[in-house]
Amino acid sequence: MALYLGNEKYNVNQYADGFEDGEKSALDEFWGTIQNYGQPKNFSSYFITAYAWNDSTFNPRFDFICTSAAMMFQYSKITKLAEKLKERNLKLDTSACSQVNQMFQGASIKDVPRLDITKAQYVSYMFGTNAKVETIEGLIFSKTTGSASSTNFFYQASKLTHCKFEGKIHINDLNLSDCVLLDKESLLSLLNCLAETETTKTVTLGATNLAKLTDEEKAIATEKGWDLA
Amino acid sequence: MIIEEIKLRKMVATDGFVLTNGEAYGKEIYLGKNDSPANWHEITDEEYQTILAEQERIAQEGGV
Repeated sequence: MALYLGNEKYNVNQYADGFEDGEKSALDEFWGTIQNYGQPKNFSSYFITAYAWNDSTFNPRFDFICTSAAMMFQYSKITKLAEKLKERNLKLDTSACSQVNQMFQGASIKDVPRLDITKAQYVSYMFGTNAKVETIEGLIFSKTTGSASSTNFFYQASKLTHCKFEGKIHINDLNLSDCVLLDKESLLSLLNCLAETETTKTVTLGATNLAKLTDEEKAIATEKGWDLA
Repeated sequence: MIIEEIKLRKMVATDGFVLTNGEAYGKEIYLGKNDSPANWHEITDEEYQTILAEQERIAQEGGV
């Protein structure tokens, strides 16, 4: 098909290809700027609700290599994160972050990918006031995790059904009592990750989650010096 | 064959009360191996609800 502009004849297919190439190039540059072309960047508050990000507009093209992820998706309207990253073979790397506080606070994201929070001293409200999150592929803890603040980590995370805990948990008074849908596999991974402690620490599971565990399973925690509430 | 004897110490709050060590709360507490019942005491359900309401107020104000 041909398009005539005045006396000039243009091959429309080539023009369409050029338009598509141009659009793709513009979007690559757009996302490259946002994501620093997959290089380390501070992503604090980048996709919060005020910026109207949603599943249609959130189309990353590069890895997220975060130097900080505080409030990264706070109250965001994006619903699919792990799925979208997997489709595009991209990663969300928080292994260098000292701050992941409020990262998913109030967010609509249902699926969270595996996150390394071993260097995160600030983890308060990471999933706080979040009644939408359903699955967390994994959370890797260390002695540093939450050492500065860790309040309300799972506050009101009432839809959470699965979270694989990894590494070693040292946070005192981690509270999962709002996570009443949490499966047994997740609870056992939590208990197995609790670090041995000489000073008594507490993890609050709540009555619903405690009822899912046998006495032998509860003893996994108590024998390591943890109270279960 | 390995035979293990598992000792689990469980504290149950009196009806109308909640157990607390000042930081954590629960109707049932399974004590860690180094903890003592003396570190826990009972508060009324009403006192506990007041504490929860205050925690929620702080949370809604975005307290971190």
